Amino acid sequence: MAQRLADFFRLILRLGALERITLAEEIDLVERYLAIEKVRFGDRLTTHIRVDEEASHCMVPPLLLQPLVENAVRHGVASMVEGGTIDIAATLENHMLRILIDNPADPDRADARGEGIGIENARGRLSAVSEGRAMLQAREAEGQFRVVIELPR
Amino acid sequence: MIRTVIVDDEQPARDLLREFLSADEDCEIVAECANGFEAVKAVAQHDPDLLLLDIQMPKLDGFEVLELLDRSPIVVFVTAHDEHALRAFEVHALDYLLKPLSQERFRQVMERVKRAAGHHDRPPLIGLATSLRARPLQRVVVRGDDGAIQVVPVSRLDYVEAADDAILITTGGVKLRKQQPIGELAAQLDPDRFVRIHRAYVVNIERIEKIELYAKDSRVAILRDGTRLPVSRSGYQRLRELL
Repeated sequence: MAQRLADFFRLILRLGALERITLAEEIDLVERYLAIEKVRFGDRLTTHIRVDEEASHCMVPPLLLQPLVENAVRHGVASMVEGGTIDIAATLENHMLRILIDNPADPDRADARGEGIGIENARGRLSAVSEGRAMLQAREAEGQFRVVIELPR
Repeated sequence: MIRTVIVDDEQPARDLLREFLSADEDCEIVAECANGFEAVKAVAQHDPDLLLLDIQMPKLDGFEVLELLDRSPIVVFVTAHDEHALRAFEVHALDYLLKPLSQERFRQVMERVKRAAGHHDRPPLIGLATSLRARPLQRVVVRGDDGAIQVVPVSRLDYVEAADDAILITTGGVKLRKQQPIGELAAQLDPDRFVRIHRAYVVNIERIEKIELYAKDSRVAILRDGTRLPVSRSGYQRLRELL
């Protein structure tokens, strides 16, 4: 466990210093993060990650997804008595990288604060690297929280 | 023998508490709970001496669990957040354990627990209800006669009426009875959204359709669903200040 944490932090330091990384590298970081959370949550946290081959080579700002996935755990799955699944999907269509993060969230959770900050940060970073051509949307309906990112290749 | 219930939504935390407790031959674990609902049930079922209670849990947090208990075990909070830990004493918990847990600190707390277990004059536990709160109440918890627990977000609360020493909470046409003075609940609700329109009534202002003069100095609030509630003179003043 300590080893996993150390590896995760080292990776954050290394990738965080770069301007752009491949989506595959970002997903690797996200998977390492989720492996740590799975120790805490056990059966309550399941994950499903699908990244198309072409999408995995796309360049993204480092730590674009990890904070969003952290939100999905802390405010989403953690708010559910039975837990739930975090679904991450990335596809490349017409030179547009599209990433979805889906997770259940209790609409009545007491502490919904703090989520907006992570999303605003991600939006700001996306906009900075894409000269405003990228988009990030977050919406919540019927107990399901979804973030959609579209980034031109 | 200290009969103990462990409550934590994280398995590794339960494992560690169990390990610490099993080293103490004066303790026996009677139940392990992964959420607040299980905790309320386990306490009713086992009437334990000690409750090791996590605070941050889904749906029902540790404070809300306390509010729903019909017994008064010794309570020790187990939390990663020191601001929660400090509130332990407000609700008459005996002590708290901060995560990450240290075995030495655990031993000290268990010494206190054993001393307290010998006394029967402990102050009664009080839940979220009467504890001081830093922010307005987000949801109301109610335990029915059948033991079923309802969690009502305040946005779904239509109005509350006093009924003897209890209150009736109306939400979507359903009335839930709760043993609590109306003034106590009124004081915890967001004053920008809930108004005490009468000694016996607190209303969600979003539900009000209009206010009508009923007789001289006496008004009635008509809610969107047609319900009519009396408005006292001071209640009307409070409403006017807000609207």
